[in-house]
Amino acid sequence: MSEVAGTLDRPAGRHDVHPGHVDDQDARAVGEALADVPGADRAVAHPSADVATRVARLYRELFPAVFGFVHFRVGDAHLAEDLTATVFERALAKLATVREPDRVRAWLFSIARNVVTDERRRRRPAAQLDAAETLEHLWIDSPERLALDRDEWRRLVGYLTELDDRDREILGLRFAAGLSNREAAEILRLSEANVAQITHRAVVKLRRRFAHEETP
Amino acid sequence: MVLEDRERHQEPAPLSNRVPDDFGPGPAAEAATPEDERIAAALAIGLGRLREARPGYQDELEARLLVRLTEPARPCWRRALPAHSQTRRSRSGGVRMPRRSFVGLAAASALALAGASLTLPLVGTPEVSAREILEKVQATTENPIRSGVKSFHLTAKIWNSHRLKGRDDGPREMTTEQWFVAPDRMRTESRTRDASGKEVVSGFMVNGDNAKHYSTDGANDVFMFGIVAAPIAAKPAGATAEARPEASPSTGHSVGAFTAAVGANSSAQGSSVTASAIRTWPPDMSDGKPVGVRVAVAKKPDEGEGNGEEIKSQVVVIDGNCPEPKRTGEATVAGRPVFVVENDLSSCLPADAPAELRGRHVRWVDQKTFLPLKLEMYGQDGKLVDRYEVTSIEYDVDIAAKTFTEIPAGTTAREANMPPAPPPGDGSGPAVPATKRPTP
Repeated sequence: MSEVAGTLDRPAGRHDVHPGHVDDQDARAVGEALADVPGADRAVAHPSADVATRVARLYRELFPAVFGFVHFRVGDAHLAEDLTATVFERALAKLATVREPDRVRAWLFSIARNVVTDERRRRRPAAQLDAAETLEHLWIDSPERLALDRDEWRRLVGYLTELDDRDREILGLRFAAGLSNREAAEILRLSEANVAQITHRAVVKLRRRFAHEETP
Repeated sequence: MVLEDRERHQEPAPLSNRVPDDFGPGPAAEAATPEDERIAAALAIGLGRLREARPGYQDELEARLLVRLTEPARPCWRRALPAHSQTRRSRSGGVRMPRRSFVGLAAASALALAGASLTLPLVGTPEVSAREILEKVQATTENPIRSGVKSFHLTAKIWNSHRLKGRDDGPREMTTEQWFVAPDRMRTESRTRDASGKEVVSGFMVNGDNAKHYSTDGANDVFMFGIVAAPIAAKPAGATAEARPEASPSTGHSVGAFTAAVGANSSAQGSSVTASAIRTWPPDMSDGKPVGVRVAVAKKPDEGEGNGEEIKSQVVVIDGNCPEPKRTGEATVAGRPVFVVENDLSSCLPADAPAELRGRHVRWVDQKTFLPLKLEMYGQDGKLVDRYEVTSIEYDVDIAAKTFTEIPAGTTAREANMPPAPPPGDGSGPAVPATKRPTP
C-alpha cells in the first residue's frame, strides 16, 4: 500500500479533466456552430467552407465526451470507435432536423444513448460484464496514479457493474463524458438537483460497498 | 484493509482539486464525506481517461466525416442500399474474442515474427494490394479530403513528350505547385515557357463555391497540369455535383479499380482554357465481381480533327482481360515512403482507345495518404511519355487564406472553358458513346 502516497501527491497530468469542463463558452460555440441550421440540408449536400468548418469545430468539441461516454457504456475501445463513428454519422445525416441549436449537445447524446442501447440489445447480455474487465486496464496503462490504488480501482470498477443501469448511465455522463450536472440533466430531461442527487447516491453506494467489504 | 493501510500511512487525500466542482448530494440529502469525494475523484480521473481515443483516431474520423459532408446527396434509388460504411471498421466475418485470447495470440505472433525474422528480409511492407492502392489513389485524387490530411502544399516537376498544336519545340517541362486546405480550398499553379521562351503561369483556384482560372498576361500558350483534382465540395455555379471533378481544368488523373488513366493535359489559346480530363467509374459488377471499368476521355481533338474547338468525348471499357496491377516495390519520394504500383494496359485496350491510355503506368503512392507522388507513363513502344514527380510535399501546414483568393501579379483571370460534363457518376454507365473492345 505504500504506492498510495506517491499516488495521491502526484500532480495532475494533462489527462486529468474534470467533469464540467464543457462549459458555457462551449455551449455558446455549439449554438453558433449550427446557427445556420435552416440551410443545413443544403449544406450537407454542398457544404460551404463555413459550414464545414463549423461542423468540424463542433465535432472536435464533442468527440471526447461522446467517445468517453460510449466507451464507458460498452467497455471496449474498438467497439466504442465504431459506435462513435455511427453517432456522428447519424448526427451528420440528421443535421437538417435540428431545430434548437442550443440543444445540439443533448441531441447528440440522445443519439449516442440510442446507439449504445441498440448495440447492447444486439449483443448477448453477458457481454456487458466484459466492461468491468475492460475498465481495469485504465489503472494499468495510466502513467499517473489514481486516487485509489490498483486493488481499490479494480474493486471500484467491479462495484460499478453492480449499480443499476440508470446510475451507470449518469456516472457515464458525469465522469466518462465529463459533463456537468446541468448538461447531464438536459440530456436526461431531469432536474439538475436530481442528477446531483443520483450521482451522489451512486457514489455513496460505491463507498458503502467498499466499507462493507472491508468490514471484518 | 485498504482504508486501514491509508490511515496507517497517514495519507490524507489531497483530492479537492480533482473532485468535480458540482459534485455533491444536492438538497435534502446526507453530506458528502471525504471518502465520497475520494471515490468521485477516482471516477473523474479514471473514467475521464475513457475520453482518449487511440492516437490519430479522432482526426481520422473527422476526415471521414468531412468526406461525408462533401459528398453529393445520394440519389433516391441508392438510399435503399446500405449507408456509407467507410467510417466503420470492417469486420468481415470477425468474431469478437475475449481480451485474454489476444495474450495468447500476441505471444504466438511474437514467436512467429521472431522465427520469420531469421529467414525473411525486414521489409515491413503494409499488407495492401495493388488494386486497393489504386482505388485509394483514385479516391484521394478525386477529392483530396479523402487523403485524411487537413492541408498540403506540394511542388512537382512534370515532363512530357506531347507536342501542342503549332509547336515543335520538343518535350515540355514545367513545375507545378498545389495547395489544399480541407474541405474545399485548392489551388494548382503551373509554370512553363511558351513558344517564344517567355515564362508563363497558369493556375486554377477554388475557394468554396468560387473558382477562377488565371494565366500570364499576353501568353498565347498556357499549359497546366495537376494530379489532384479540385475538392468535390467546390462547385462553380451551373455545374452539377457529378461533374465536379471534371469541371476543373486542372483535373488530373483518375485511376480506376483496374486501371490507371492518363495524365491530364490542359492547353490554352488566347484567354480560354480547354481541358483533357479522364475519369473512371466504379467497375461494372456481375455476381458481385467487378468485370470492367469505364474510362471517359474528354479531350480536345488534335489538329485536323474537327474545327479545333469541339471537345471530343470517348468512353473506353477496360475489362478483366487487362492484367492485374502489381506492386513492384517500395521507395521514397520527396522524403515520403511510397508504394510502387505498375499497371500495364499496353496490349489489352481497343485499338481506338486514346494512345495515352495504351501503355504501362507506374505510380509511386504515399503509403500514408495515398496521394500519388510520382507517375511515369510509357507508350506502347516502351518509351517514356509523361513523368510527374513531387519534389517536396508538406502535410497539415498552415496556408494563408489569400492563397485561394489572390491571383499572382502579372496574370489575369480568364474565363474557364470547361470540358463537357461526363455521365452521372452513379455507376449506371456513361452517356457518351462507348468504344467497344474488339472481339478476340
